[in-house]
Parts: sequence; C-alpha cells; structure tokens
Amino acid sequence: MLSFFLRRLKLALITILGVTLIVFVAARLSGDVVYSLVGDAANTEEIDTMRRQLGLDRPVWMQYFTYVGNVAQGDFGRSIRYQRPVTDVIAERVPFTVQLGLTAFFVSIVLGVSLGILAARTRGSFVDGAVRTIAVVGQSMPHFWIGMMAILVFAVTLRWLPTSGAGGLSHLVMPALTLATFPMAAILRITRSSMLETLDAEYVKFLRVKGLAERLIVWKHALRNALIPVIALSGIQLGNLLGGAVIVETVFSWPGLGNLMVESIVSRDYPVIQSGVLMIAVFLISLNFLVDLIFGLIDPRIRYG
Amino acid sequence: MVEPAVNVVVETPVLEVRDLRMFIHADRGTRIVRAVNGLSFSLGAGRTMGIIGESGSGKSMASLSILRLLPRGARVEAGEVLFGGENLLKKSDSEMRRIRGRHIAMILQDPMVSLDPLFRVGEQVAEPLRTHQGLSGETLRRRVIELLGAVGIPAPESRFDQYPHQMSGGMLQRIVGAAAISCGPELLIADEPTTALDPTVQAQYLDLLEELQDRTGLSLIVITHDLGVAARLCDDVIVMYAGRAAERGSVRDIFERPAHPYTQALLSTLPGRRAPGEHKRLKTIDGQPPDLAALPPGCPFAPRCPRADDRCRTETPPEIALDPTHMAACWYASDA
Repeated sequence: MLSFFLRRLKLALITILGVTLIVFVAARLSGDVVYSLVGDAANTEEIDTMRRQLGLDRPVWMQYFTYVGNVAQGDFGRSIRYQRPVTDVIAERVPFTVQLGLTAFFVSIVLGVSLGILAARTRGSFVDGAVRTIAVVGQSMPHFWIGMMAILVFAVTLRWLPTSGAGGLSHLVMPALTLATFPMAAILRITRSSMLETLDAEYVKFLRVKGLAERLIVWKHALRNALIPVIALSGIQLGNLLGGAVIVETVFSWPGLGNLMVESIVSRDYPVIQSGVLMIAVFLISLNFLVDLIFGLIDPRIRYG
Repeated sequence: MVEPAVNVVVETPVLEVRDLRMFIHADRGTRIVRAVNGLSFSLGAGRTMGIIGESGSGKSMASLSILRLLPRGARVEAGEVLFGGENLLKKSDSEMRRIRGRHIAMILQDPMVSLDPLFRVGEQVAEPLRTHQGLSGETLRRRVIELLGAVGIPAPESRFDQYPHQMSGGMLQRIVGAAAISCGPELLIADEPTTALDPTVQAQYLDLLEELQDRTGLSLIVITHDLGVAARLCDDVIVMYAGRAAERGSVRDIFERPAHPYTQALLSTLPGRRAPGEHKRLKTIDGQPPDLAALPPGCPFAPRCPRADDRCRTETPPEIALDPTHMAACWYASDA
C-alpha cells in the first residue's frame, strides 16, 4: 500500500511539472500582458520598465525556473490584474465552484444512478425508452445552450429564478442543473448498461435459484457489481465538471474559479492562470487516486502494490 | 375385498413433468425456437434422474422451466410441472421464491461464475438460510460452517471469510453445493455438474453428490452430455433429442437395451475397450441436430437415422412402451 502510494505520488509530481510547463508557455504564447497594461499611449521606455517590473524581460526558461522554485516554497506570486496574492484571489472563488460543482455532481449521481437502474429493470418498456431519450438529449445539448434556454424560460419569461449571479439557493438552481445534465446522462447510460450486464450474470441466476427476494438481488448484489464502472466514470465526470463550470459560470455570471480563469485568460493574468490550472491539475490527480481507493473498498479482487 | 398379491407401494413422485412445451423468441421475435416439445417424466423420492442430450437438445431449458427461471423471451407454452402434487407453472412469483432454494435447489454449470465476486463465500451460503429459515447471527454462522464441512471443505472456519477469487474451481463447486443444499431441499437439479471441473476433481464431486443424496434422501436430476456421469450416478435416464424424450427408462434399459436409434448411435460413439496397440477411429453421428425453429414433420431424428423410412419422415412417433418403465419414441422401437 505504501509503495503504491509513493509510486502514484512520483507519477503525480511528473504530471504536475508537465502541466505547469505547458500552461506557463501557452499563457505567454497567447499574447503580451504588458501591452494590455500600459495602454496605447505608452512609449518604449514605459513598456520596458513595466516588463522589467513584472520580471518578463528575462528568458522564458529562466522565468519558468523562478516560478517553479517559488511555487515549491509556497509562493504563487501576485495577480497582475488584482495586485493581490494569487492565493487570495483564487481562495475567494473556490467556495463558489465547490458549491456549484458538488451540487451538480450530487444531482447527476442521484438522478443518473436511479434512472439508470429504473431503465435497466424495465428494459424494453416505455419507461426504458423515455429514460434513454433523456440520456441522449442530455448528452447532446451543449451547456451554454441549456443555460441560455433556462434563463430565457425560468428567469425571463416565468420569473421564477434570478437570471445570474450568486446568492441564495435560488441562484444555485439553474447553474447546478445545467452543469449536471451532461454527467447525469453519462452516468445514467453507464449505470443502465452495467446493470443490464450484471443482471444477466450467472451469479445473479444463482441468487434467484437460492430463492432470494428480488430487492436483495438488485440492491445488495447487482448494484454493487454494476457500480464499479459507474464509479470510474463518475470520477472522470467530476473532473469534467470543472471544464463545464468554466462555461456555466460564464453564462450565469457565477463568481467561481471557471469565471476567474476566463477573466484571467482574457486579461493575460499569467500568475492566476498558472496557479488556477495547477490547482485543477492537483484536484484531478487526487480524484483519480481517490477513485482507485474506492475500487479497493468495493472489489476484494483489487490489491494495491 | 381381494388383497393384492404383492404389496405395491404407490408413492407420489417428488416431481412429475407432463407434456412440457416451451419456446424462445430468438432474433428479436422473428424466430420461434421450440426448445422443449412435449417432455414428460416422473421422479420418485431419493432417486436420480439423468437427462442426457447434445447441446441444444433442450435439457437445460427443461430444468430451468421447472424452476421457472427462464431467460428473457422464453415462455412455457403448455404442460404441467407437479412438485409434491402442485403445479409449479400455476404458482405466483413469490410462491416460487419460497420454493426455490428451500424445496428445489439447483447447481449451475460453471462454479467459477456462480458466486458473486464481491461477497464472502460464507455469506453466500448463508443467504438461503437467512431467507428461508430466518437464521441469523452466531447460529447462522455455525450452520454455514457445518455445511461447508459437510461438502468436504477443509478448515471451513477459515474459508468462511474468503472471497470466490481466492478458491479453486473444485472448492467453489463445493461452496455452490453447500449453498444449494443448505435448506435441505427435496429436489436438487445439477446442470452439467462436472463439465467445468478438472478430471481429477470430477470424480470427487460425483462422490459428494452421491453422499449428499444418501444422507439427505433428496431426489436428484443430473443434466449431462457425459454418458459416463449418467451411467455412474443415475437410476433413470431420459435421452433428449430436439426437445423431446427420444427414450427413457432405467439406467440398465438405456445402456444395455437401447431401443431408439439415437440412443444406440450415442452409445456407439463411446470409446470402447481396445486391445493394446489397436487403433480405432471414434465413431460420430452423421448429420446435424435439427433447427428447433423449423422442425421438420415426422421424427426429428429421421434425417440422421439409418433406419428411417417414409413413415418416419411424415408422422411423429409417439412414446412406445417397451415395458412399464422403458419407452422410446420410435416407430420401430419394439423391433429392436
């Protein structure tokens, strides 16, 4: 178990290093932050001064090593735009994204798994067909479109919910449901197919031969077996939620990390972009590790080593 | 009143199947496969019935019909399955659940996939006892360990908490057996009990089945394509062909006086005793079993039968009784 953990840690460090390098270079390829800071009237001298102040006059590889060195010491730099430490800027956005993401994740798991089981148990029926239609529609509609339609219908026309921004629960409803549609549909589909496969397994037949009640067969045995691929996919979907959050937060002006990332890219706020992506990478890597640990809890055949 | 000369004990059979017919909708309902076409037999208490046949002869479907555990798209069309005098085909689903595992148990073909990989084997043996007899806690655990011991598992206490992947095929077959007999069923159906096992373990497992039967007095149905297994275990044998009984009788009738040309052909495929150095090709039966979705008129074996004539190709032969316990579905059965 310890050696498994150490090996994963080593891989994680390599991945993170790669991510920082790519983001570092890509951010600088997107354009020069200095020009957007000094304005059109600035002369060459002012531009050079500004560039020196930000440390952007040195070769990119030197900047990179300074950055990595600083990060290793816990210094993530200052936001060029906000003139405050990056950690502060990010920290005030994270809770919003966590709230939005977890709500969407919870909704997509609960709906996806229960509808998936329902469809599997009523295979071939009208209910099954309806649920599968929901899944296809949910996976086909892009977030921004669902978001705009939701605003149009529920906020503008019906006036049930606020159009945008963060606030009480009413502000959370539309962005969370919009963000949940895609993962919900994906989880639904895999739950259905995995459950169908499990219900056809020989050991399920033997459970029936033993005379067990159908609810015991479905909820105790079949579900646990069927959940293995569902958990793998849910981990991936929770990661994808962050990508979806960038769009959904923009559509609904939700003040989360995704919104911050878009702002920072537009204004070329390199330190915020770098640390934001770094944080997301660390989150995804931890998520994968967590999923592997959950597998071990469910499936006795899995050994770490 | 006249006393009968011999004191005949008329006991009700444990299981009586009458003219069972079932079909399967295949290829999205475009083809109807008639897997069982009028099967009848009866099984007395403590006796062992062998159902022999090639794959696709309907033997597994017949046994699944008895337990009413047919796959999707399969339906029993007609017939009666009398268990203890009651027609199982008329029972509700919940009544059937109370019969399965408690009164009729079954062992599936492949022990390696018969157990849920995520649960400890002890728990899987315990489940029917909890469901049908309401056992729990330490009583349940002790009973399971006792059962594991009874099916010949060494150190049953330590095996209780193991998972299926930690055990060998022979061991798993015993676990499956323990789960099947846990509630003391009157009837046990063993579907190809030895096919998935190594030859060395096969014999041990047959011994175990016999021993369990001696000890508990249960009736046994053994479904097999292995004539050796049938000869060794069974009192009575049904030879199935194309969903029907081609021939049925006592194990001696079938193996010593086979009357149906199919049975005779089957027996001739067995490798006989050979002198040292003698080489003989194994015999095969020419032709293919018929397509159950498009059964020809007449005797289903006619196209492969050396003795078939025009009558065989047009009229389906009834079961012809050769003596009270031996019958064959062949027009020429009594000529043999």
